[in-house]
Amino acid sequence: MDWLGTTHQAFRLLFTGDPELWAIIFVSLKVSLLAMAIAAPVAIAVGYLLATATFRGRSFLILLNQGLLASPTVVVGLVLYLLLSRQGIFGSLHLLFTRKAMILGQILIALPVLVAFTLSAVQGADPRVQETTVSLGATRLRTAWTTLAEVRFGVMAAVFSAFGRVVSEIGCSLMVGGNIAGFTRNIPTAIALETSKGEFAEGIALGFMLLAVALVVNFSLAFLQGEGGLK
Amino acid sequence: MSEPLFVIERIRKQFGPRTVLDVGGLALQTGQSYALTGDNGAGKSTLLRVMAGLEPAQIARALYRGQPVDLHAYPEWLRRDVIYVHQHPYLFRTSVRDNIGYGLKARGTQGTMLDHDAVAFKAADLSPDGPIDPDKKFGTVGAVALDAHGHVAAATSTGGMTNKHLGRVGDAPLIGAGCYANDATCAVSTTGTGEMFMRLLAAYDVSARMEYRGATLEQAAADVIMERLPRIKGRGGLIAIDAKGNVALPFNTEGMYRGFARVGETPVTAIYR
Repeated sequence: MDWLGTTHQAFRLLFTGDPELWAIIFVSLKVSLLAMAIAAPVAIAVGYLLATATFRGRSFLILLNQGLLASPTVVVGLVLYLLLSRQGIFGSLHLLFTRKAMILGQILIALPVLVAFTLSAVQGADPRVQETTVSLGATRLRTAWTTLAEVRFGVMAAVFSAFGRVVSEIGCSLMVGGNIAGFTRNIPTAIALETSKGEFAEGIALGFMLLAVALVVNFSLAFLQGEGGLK
Repeated sequence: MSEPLFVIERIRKQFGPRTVLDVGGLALQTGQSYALTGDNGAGKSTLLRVMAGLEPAQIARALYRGQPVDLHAYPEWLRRDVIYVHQHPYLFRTSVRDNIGYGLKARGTQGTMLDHDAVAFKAADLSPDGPIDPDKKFGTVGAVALDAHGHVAAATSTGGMTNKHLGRVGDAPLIGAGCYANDATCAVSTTGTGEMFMRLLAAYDVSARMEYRGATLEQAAADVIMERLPRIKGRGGLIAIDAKGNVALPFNTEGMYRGFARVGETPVTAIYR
């Protein structure tokens, strides 16, 4: 295999603005960012509640979530496929092989990661945070907000890892998205396809793009949180 | 004795089988300070935390200003009155301003503003004109006097600066900077950006100009406030009286609260020029 030639060709594809390539990148970004936008607020709230509230079954829920961290994305895809297929419970919604199904799948994949990281970040917060906010007269909501702001680096780590997981996962996207060109084909599914076709240049170009997307998103999130979260 | 402010009857607190706190009763009077002493682990912090609603405990009855209160579901009005300060205070990882303002915001306090915000508010001209821009007037109180025997005297309060640094020594207590009196020349009390008054020894400088150059009080005071101070971006003013009873009240800011009185004459007061 001519590595140099292939890589060279990959870069030419990228910089000549091959529309098909950019469509694939667009699908990846849109699906993963939307999934994160929906999953993150919910999961961060759930993680906070699991860390601070006391109720029956809390330990079980934490263990369950910890276990779900290991769930293979193909299994998530499989379950979702069964639910969304024509014979499935939600078959009438006609969601299978759509971007919405991919977003749904990525939400399910991101949730346990976000919950687990937020949970541990909040549990690691200085206990004086809550005492101070409560004593200063903060409502529960304000206390939650302040606490999350105190452990924002941990919460951002949750968002980084979850985004990393969903943007690079292939199993679920392939199964419920169907790798339809120009519609549900994202970077990971495209790389798999191009590689099996022997189109290594496309694969490498997409691989670079995937890395670049992850880096750009993480850098901009780090920038947003100030001090790059690197202090 | 008047009705106690805070009464708690029978407080018990157990961690597992261990009783950490067992107090028969407690009554705190208004206007009193209390010190709580006890061995390590005697439950001092626990008691305070229970009273601040941070720790549940078995309580027979609690009264605040004669009103029964539930310290578990701490009522909001009680929260406004009671505050628990941790022995190792916690600062939120945000700005100093947000840390200071947190309690005000959380309690929904209306009409209170941090000094910086008030200054910014004023500077942005969002409010109707007050008597004087808080950024442009200084809070020092000074006095100069001449008695019937021709002796002069000067006094300057420990002037403050908004949000001054802890431990800052201003010009007010420094003889020659914020305050100076000499029967041969004059008595001076200054107000303004203290550091600049210190650098110039402004109060003494007025006297020195009169003594060495033979300047009049009017000239000497104007030279210091209008010429020398602005050169180092010093802002403020002074009040001075000489041994002959001449009064000078120069300032290089927008206004300065000032006034003077002579025996048998109507007192004169002014704020702006």
